[in-house]
Amino acid sequence: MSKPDPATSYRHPRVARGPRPAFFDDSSSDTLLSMNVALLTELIATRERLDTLERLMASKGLLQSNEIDSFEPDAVANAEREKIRETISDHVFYLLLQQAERAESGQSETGPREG
Amino acid sequence: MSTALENQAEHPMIMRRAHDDAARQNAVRTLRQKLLPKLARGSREMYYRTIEPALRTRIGGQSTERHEDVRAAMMKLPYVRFQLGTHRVIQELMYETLIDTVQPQLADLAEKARSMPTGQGSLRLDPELKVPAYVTAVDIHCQPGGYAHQSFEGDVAAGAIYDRSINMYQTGAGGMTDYMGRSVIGYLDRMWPGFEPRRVLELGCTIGHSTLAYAKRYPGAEVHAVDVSGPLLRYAHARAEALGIAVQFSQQNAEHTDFPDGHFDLVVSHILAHETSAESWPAILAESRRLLAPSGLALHLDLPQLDEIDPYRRFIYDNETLFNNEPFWTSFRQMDLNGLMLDAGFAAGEIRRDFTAVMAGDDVGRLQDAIEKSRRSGHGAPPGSGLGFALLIGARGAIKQRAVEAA
Repeated sequence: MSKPDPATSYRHPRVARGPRPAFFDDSSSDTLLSMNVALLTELIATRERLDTLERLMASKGLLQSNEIDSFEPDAVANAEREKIRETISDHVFYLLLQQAERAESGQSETGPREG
Repeated sequence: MSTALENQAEHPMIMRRAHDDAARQNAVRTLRQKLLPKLARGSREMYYRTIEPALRTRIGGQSTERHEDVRAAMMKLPYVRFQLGTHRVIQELMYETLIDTVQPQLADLAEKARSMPTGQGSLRLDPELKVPAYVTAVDIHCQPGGYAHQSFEGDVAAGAIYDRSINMYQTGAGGMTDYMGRSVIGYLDRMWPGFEPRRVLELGCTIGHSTLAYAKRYPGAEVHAVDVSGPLLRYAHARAEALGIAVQFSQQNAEHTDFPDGHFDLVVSHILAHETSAESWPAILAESRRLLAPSGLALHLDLPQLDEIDPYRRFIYDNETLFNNEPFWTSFRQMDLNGLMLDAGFAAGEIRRDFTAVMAGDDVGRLQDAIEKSRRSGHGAPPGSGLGFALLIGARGAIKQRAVEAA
């Protein structure tokens, strides 16, 4: 019944006004570099979350100091982990995998090109 | 062993961060403050070991390499392209992580700022003020939305983003991110012992992070601060009140404020100059002169001019203009500051150029060292010394009688 709150429907700009410089002759390299550094920040953030978890568990007595480093996964855990590794790898390589799929199904390798 | 970077002091106005928001911001901060300097050292080595000797040979033994030649040679190196490309990406990711975090809190932060109990400070906004083109043409240093963006009345997002970005960007900014104010105050305490201004004005104050250092150092003084951005000032006022520090904020253009002639004993600005324009900066200097009381001082802090730094650092600084949305900086660095001060109404004996250290704490020894090293070498940031700040100083009344020279 009340009007939509402009503050909650509002989105702060995500792109800075002004030209985005290129550092490489091929702009794909600029894109790849940005993805790599962004992935690095995600990796660091995830590692930090894991560190938080380990410290919390240790402080509650749920984890001994050497328990993670000496952990040996059983067959079930191994299989589940393999799936995690594969899912993440596929996710990061989604574009190449899509191109492979197109090639296998006989579609054109890329979409329409500019210029 | 690696030393931990200093965390920002949390205060009631600052944007809240969940665990992973903080972790991402910490990751960007580490890349910015630990990784980028290591990468930059590589470029510097390549310059001094390979590029500089080759240029020297080519131009017949002179040491006056043209910085266009330096740039052309450096940009041929894949390493340098990776270094500068990574630098840009980290700047973008800084704002990505901050905007991700602030986006869900926009309404809460606006309400918090609006309802913050006010003590001795004040906020005077001017909705009719025209924000200058140099603030709106591009988003300075790539902060999306820039300094003045607001989508709804009461929005403080630009301020909230800027506040956390300082600690992520600047090593040694201090828990209160008041390092620039402290750098000027440290200089004043050393060079003008006993200087106790009754009224202080900061021009282009953004979120008042430097302003608060003056209010703390000069508790008896009336401290004013102006900026053109409403969102920044709303945030600045709420932040100062949350911290219990009295500052009188007003939305005004530093080229022509409404304060009376001779109203302030101390007028300061911090890295404002290079974000203005060739037309406005001379006007701001003239306004600083108009506002000074007899025996008053104006100190404008920025980075060194082109003729005060070596060719490698010129290359590094110019990257800010080329790659980081600082359109005026390269031209600003070539302006004749002494000439501008004379045009602004200061007499020759009332003008001084000097340097100070980046100072987050009360490390006076480091400050003295920086001042003396800068003076000996004739420029603010000799190779290997790290960055120092340059000061453009104007006084009402001859400067030499009152300044205490370094031994």
